[in-house]
Amino acid sequence: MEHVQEDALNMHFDGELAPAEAASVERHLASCGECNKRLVSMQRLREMITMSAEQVASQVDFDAMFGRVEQGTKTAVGPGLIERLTLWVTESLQHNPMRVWAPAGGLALAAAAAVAFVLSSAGSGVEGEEEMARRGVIAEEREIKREKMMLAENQPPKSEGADSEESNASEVVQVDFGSNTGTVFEIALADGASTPVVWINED
Amino acid sequence: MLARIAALAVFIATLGALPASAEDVKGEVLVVLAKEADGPVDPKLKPIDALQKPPFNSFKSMELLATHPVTLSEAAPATVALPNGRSLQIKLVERMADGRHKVSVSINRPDKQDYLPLLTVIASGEPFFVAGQKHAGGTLVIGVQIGSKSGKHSK
Repeated sequence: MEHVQEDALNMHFDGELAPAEAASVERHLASCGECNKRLVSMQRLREMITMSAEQVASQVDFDAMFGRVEQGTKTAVGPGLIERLTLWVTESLQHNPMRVWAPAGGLALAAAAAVAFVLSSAGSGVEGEEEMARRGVIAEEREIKREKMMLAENQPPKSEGADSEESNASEVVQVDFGSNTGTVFEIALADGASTPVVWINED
Repeated sequence: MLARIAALAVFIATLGALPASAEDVKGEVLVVLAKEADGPVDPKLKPIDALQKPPFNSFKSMELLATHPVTLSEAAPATVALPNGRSLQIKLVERMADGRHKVSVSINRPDKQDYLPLLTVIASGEPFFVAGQKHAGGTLVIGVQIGSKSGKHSK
């Protein structure tokens, strides 16, 4: 018996196979214990990864973490603008004076234009700063919300009866194949419902 | 005399108002032999949507071997003889508030213990399938349908 190739099994597991190929793989899985074991291993691996992600996420205090990050950004002090400018001017004067005076002229013109602009819009500067600060807070809140949403996507499915849309669906609650092996899967029906299938592997 | 008739009427009305849990649930078991060899598909199976989809649609022929009406109750399981000498046992475990029925299904072998205890919740009228047993050069597909599609407890 020719077993399902690793790539095909992976694609089947991810639901990426074309219907005809998926059917072929399903048929093979129905009669091949070895490939079923490989599929079960993939499922277990995914469950373990999901569970560990959930466990790690549940142990992280995100509020405290963001608080520490915020505190770190406030207390971290690098060289100031004046210090960097002084260093740059000193080094440039020693090696290439024109490299300093040309930008200095431009800078003076820009400063004059900036002063004129500030004077013409006097009174709006404070509001602008507040707006910038508010946007920063919103951006940060969005980031936290995005993290929380990502965690929510890894949460286990809702418990039985939690979702009223599924209240009429058939579902297999428990299966014990005993000494045999088998697979439980669902067939999606046209009306959006699904039908469970318990497939016994008789090798 | 009038009082007796009134009492009888009240008694009958009380019987009619008994909760559904005191009633049996009707169902049906379909036994299908599916083969990969070319052959016909029983017209009675064509309305069953699930059998037209993977993996069942990879079978080229399907023969409806038997249809067994069953009546389920909490008190006693219903037993259906399968063509491979085994027997399918279905027992009503619980009537759920949403109209579904929780049933236990097992397939017994004469010389061994139950090897497939299966606990399942079934939407009324929507069949579920137990497949994979080899028989007569094909595969047995057993469809179990409990109750009606309306989702109400059948009487």
